Amino acid sequence: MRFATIIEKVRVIESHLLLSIIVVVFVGLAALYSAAGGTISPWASKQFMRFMVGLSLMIVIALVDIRFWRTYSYGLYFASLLLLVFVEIKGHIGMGAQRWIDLGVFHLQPSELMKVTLIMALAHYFHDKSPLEISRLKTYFWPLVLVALPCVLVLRQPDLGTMLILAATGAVVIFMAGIQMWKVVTVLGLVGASLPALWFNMHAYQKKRVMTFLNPENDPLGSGYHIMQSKISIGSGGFWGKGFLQGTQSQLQFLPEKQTDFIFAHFSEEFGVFGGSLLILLYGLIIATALKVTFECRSYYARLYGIGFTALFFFYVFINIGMVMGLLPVVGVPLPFMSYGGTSMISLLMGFGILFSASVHRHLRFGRSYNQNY
Amino acid sequence: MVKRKKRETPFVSEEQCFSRRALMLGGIQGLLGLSLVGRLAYLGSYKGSTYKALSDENRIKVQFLLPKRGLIKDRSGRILADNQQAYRLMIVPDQTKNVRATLEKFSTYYSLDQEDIEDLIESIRYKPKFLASTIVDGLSWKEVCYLEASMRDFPGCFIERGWSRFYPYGLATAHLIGYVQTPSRDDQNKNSLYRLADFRLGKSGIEKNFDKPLRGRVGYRRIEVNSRTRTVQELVRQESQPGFNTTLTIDLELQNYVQERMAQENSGSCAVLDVKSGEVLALTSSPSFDANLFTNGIRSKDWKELASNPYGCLHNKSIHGLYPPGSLFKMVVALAAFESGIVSSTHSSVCRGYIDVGSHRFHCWHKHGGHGRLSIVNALAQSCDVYFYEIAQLIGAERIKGMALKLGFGIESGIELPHEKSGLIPSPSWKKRVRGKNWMRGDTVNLSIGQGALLATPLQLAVMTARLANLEGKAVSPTLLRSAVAPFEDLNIKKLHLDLIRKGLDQTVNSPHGLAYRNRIIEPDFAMAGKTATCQVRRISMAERKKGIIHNNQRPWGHRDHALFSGFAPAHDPKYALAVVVEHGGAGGRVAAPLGHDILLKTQQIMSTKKSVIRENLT
Repeated sequence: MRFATIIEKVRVIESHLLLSIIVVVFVGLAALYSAAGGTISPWASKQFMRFMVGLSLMIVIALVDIRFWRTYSYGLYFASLLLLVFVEIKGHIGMGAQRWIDLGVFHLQPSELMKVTLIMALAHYFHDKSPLEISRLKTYFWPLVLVALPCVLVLRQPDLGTMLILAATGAVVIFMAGIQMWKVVTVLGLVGASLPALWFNMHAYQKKRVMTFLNPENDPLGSGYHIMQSKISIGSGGFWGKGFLQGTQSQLQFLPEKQTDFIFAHFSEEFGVFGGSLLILLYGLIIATALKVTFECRSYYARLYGIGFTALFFFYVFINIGMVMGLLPVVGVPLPFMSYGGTSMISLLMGFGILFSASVHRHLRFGRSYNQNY
Repeated sequence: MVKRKKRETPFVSEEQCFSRRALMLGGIQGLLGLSLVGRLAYLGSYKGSTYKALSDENRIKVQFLLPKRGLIKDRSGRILADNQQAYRLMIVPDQTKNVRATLEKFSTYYSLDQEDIEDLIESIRYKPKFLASTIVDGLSWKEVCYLEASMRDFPGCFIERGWSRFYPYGLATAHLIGYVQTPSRDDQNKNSLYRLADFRLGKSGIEKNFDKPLRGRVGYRRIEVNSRTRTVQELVRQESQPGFNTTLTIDLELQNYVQERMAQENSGSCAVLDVKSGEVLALTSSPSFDANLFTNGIRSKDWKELASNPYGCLHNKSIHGLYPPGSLFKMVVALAAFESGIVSSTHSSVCRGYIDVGSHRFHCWHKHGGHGRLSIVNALAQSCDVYFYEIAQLIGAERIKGMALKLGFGIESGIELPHEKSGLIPSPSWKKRVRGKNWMRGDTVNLSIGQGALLATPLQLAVMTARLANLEGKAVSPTLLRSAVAPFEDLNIKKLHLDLIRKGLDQTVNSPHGLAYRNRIIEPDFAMAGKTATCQVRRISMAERKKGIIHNNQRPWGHRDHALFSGFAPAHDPKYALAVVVEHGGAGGRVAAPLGHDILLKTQQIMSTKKSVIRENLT
């Protein structure tokens, strides 16, 4: 690539999207600063470093031609799958579940990468399918395998939350590829019917989480503690919040995991309903801009990827905020760009990198193998 | 676009389908996003005040302020149980990484042996991790300075200033006052207050019996804390109310004297009562122990030493020790006989040294020749057994039991101390029920001289003596509280009969024929009356009697006779009554009567100077 081309490409990067991401990241850094009791160490400084690494990676990925990413979709997917198998065999044991590979600099969580590469692989698969093929049932065999493989591996770790996100994201891409409605309805019916079977195969701690989600007041000092304290934090913030650095719940250490999964509760305690709504609005803005970028792309691959990735991002936000507010069970999903943690930040930025690449190269139409009209 | 539309497919165009579905997904996402905002508003605005309250509840903790324990004083206001300012080293387990390592490090500064460390770890384990526990109590000022300077070496530790129970006369009052102790694990489960490091529970004696009033009212302070209960600031403070001070009827000087005097024997007990009011002037049990050892958790070494004392230093013999009253019971038998109307108070009998009951021969202690003809007064003074053998058979065991109950046997005296024993009066129905055997005449004979199954505590013997000595014929009951003077009931015994008994006891000590003449009090104003008793612990078999009885001193301690004495003084206007039991001490007249003499004399000396002092103050 010539230097001029690079400059040109950087100039066409969707600035609204990039700006909203950066704003959320900085809001997150402020929240981490407050969670540490008004110091940048240990969380805010480290998180900023990670953001810088992720941002650079994102820009590099954005500058690479989207056709390149399309070509290597399967390769990346299988690489992630191999990493998942690797953690299954030999991983670090953390929180009773094997999820990380120690890279020295940070812990790599292959399931986070998997979420992005699964979307890429599915988009690549459906990119080459004609509407006629789409209407056939057998077309869906491979996509189901693509979704099922990582789901099984993640579930073995065991990480129910990630598994559900993977399955839901896969479902969104398959849905967007044009599967007939009656099939969707049938599958939804089947899933509903199989819920009891799922319940009996869940780990004791997972069952407990669901139970305490349904009634946290039953066990306020046990596993209901997280949800209770989180709701107390949000509720006691009132409309305007207790003020920056004034959140008694988090400053006095009552709110557990205030810097990671429960950072939204910490944020809302200090900035109230007002700040929390603004933050949700900001996430909505990111999603809306990402969808706008997606629709501007001409290639089917890019569009499928865009919708799938936006849905993934939405799931993150919705599940995290939902669980923090007691709408959903506590499943251990971080809040994108806010929660302290390297992998989710970097892998999401990489995912956005692909989207930016699609956006930068949005005018490219590339061939779909079934369609000779192009 | 147009091209694709024309393609012959049974579906809407891919483009349209894609847009429609994207719109659908976007719509769903938008709705879900709105639901998040709605939930947020519900929590923050609608339920905000509820959660605000819950958040304050989190943040604001109530911390209890323990009251100072009430003082215990003697009858003239001298302090028997005090609170001393004490410095103690505390540890909060969740503020140190390794409790054991910290303790072991500390043991190099302060003498804690391995066993003490294990005990501490064991007691800490069952408390919440954020509650402080005491490592060492009663640090000296020098140790405090030293530790403060090297506090960094002991993570999670801090020095606290508090109050610690102190017994200035720990040895003399241990059984009476009792002691306080850190609540046991069982106690801690009953009441969470008991888990506080400073909390002490009265474990025996007055401390136990009046534990609640002595404790006082717990105060509290509301403090802002973090989730590790580190105090951030104090919001409200409600001071505690110290426990009620308790004034006892005990006279410290006398108590000390009695304890010291009794300590000259291996093991024994003494109770001194006011004959008119029932006030207990001294109550001792020996050997004794230092009650201060228990306050801050007794060291295992000390505990082993106390528990293995052969003379049983831990239990209060004055109310827990049961002894056959022996000859002291003769007054009861005589009164039972006279009151029944079957035996006249002028009754006399002839002692030949023994009587035969059925096939069994019962001896008088004066075996060779016997006492000859005796009236009741002489029978008491010389403690003739045969006289009582005879009258007991005339009236039967039930009447004796009735009189014994009147005089305080077989029933708790009601003194303000925990776990008092009631003793035992055997009777035909009791023997049938418990031993499954019929009551024999021989049992009545045995009972008449206070042997057999009959058992009484030293305090009961003192109560009996006080009732006999009370000139108004009242059923005096003992009390340790000065304020509690209840009107006593009448004994319903004819004054004539009581006078006879008192005369008998007077002659026992003051007549040259009396058995305790050697131990009379010479000063006429302080002259005492009383009765000695020597109680067999083992039955003397015929074979032994033929071989000649082995002298008391040659038997092992546990087989020797108990030496008893009970008496009152002054003999003509009784004011003070006492009972002395020397466990396995030997002959009552040789061992117990001198103690009775010394103690009753001392009692009168002390009390008369007190009274004159009061009189002086009044004028």
